[in-house]
Amino acid sequence: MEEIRKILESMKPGVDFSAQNHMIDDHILESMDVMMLVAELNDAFDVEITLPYIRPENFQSIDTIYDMIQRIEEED
Amino acid sequence: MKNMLAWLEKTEERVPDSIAVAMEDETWSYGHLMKTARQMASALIPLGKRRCPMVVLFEKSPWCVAAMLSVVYSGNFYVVLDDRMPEERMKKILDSLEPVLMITDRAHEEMAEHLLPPECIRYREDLEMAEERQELLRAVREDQVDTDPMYALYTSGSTGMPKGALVSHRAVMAYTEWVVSTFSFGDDTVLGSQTPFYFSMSVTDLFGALRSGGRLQIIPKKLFSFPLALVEYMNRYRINTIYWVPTALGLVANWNTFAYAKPEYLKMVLFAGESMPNRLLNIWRRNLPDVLYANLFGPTETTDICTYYVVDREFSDEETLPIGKACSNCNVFAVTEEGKEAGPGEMGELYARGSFLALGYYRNGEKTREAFVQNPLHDDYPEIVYRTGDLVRWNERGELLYLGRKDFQIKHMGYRIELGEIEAAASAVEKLEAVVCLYEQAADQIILVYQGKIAKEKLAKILEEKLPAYMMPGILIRVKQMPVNANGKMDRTYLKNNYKTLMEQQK
Repeated sequence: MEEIRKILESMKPGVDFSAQNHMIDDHILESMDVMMLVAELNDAFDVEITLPYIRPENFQSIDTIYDMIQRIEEED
Repeated sequence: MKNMLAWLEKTEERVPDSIAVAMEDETWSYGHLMKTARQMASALIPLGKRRCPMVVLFEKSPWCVAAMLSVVYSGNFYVVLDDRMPEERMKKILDSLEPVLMITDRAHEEMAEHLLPPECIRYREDLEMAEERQELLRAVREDQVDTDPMYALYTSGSTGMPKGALVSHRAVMAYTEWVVSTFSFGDDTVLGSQTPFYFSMSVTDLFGALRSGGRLQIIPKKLFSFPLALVEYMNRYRINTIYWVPTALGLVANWNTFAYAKPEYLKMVLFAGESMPNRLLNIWRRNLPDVLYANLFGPTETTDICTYYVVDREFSDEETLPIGKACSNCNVFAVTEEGKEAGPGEMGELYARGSFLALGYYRNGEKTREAFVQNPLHDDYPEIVYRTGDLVRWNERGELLYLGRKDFQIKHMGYRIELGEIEAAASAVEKLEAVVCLYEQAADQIILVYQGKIAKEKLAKILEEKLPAYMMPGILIRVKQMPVNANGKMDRTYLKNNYKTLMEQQK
């Protein structure tokens, strides 16, 4: 979780991501931020986040991102 | 017809209960939209302002459309500000515009009061309570002529000072006439709208759809981060026509979305705003072969578009898609450096003439006189034409090819180079998802920024085979994700200002 928070903070300095539960709906992550984040997460966790996982509900908070990565790792 | 509203009223009369504008499940019929606009206008007309700027500040929604139309009904012209625009840009626009008032909603009260004094702000929650006053609306209409301004759209000038292209009823009527007849927009058109209402491409979406009796289905911006959800939205609302920037189409293509889902109702894919690499278009064409694809080209100053090309043959990934021929009622020509009309094969600057042309830039006589000039090919009678600043060439088929911006034309190692040409060559490289070519004058360096799974050394090797030595970028920068601006296009300004930081990050 810490690592996810660090990646998010490096992308958008100054945002308190641990307090965010609706990053997509509240437009904290915009347009290409999500795609950028996916690329960073792929590298950091050595996973491949495929398209079916790239859905708004998986990117609303650090928790939902963490859960998503867990699910992907279990599948491998 | 001398007023764009007359066209919309014709649609209203014909199909009052059809849906005009929708945002997800919120739907507004033509009857409801037009009546709301007239009610709001009935409260604006007594202010006694005509042909004056009024700003609308909303999120992209049916309410925003109603507010835009209410300004037109009041005999004034609108300027759309979006609640997501950077505040600095909004302030610059308001400073040069000096609007007589702003229409917004209570949700934006704080933002609005930050921008303008409270006496200049009207809330739609109050305006919509007004009674429709036919006698006032009629009086406004009687005084109007088709050359009256309908809206101003602000484009970012190269100096960072936005310019407001002022567009008349006549231009919007002439332009939408071409859109609707060329692409057969009609009652069954469901247009999936991507671009913001402060960007010229939305004029095609909004007034193309409303003139024809079709439905404008606004696509929530956040879906342009989620390709599968985007396609599902298109299928849920049976979107059959889209007019997007190539970067948005590239999002779908690059993520291999079609392997998971396809837009089932799509019949027409139009695009404009930046060059469309054939590598991306070919992915669309392979997956959706029965769709009509068309490349539209033009500036805000010709309402939206001046030339177009309906894709009618195969193109390899390496080829450049033509921008085609002039739209009906908007003639174009190219002028060489010697001031002569460019013939086949010759490069020249593109000029446009005819009814699509904007009136000029609002309160900016100097910039207006630079771009809206007497036709350089004759002096027989006054004919104001628009200098696009774009370099083009006619090919052997009589189609126009876009070569690049005149201001992007650089001189490097003694050669004159179009940055667009380098981009076109790089775009065709397999695995390259997006490319932007920049030039740093001070260091005389060509910089290529790219997104895609390919190492810099390998890319350099491939480019060496495609480009002459003098066109080879001196610096390659690989980014995980190409930055995009508010319109959804690749953000060249950001890259130009930040490429050094990006280079540092690579080390």
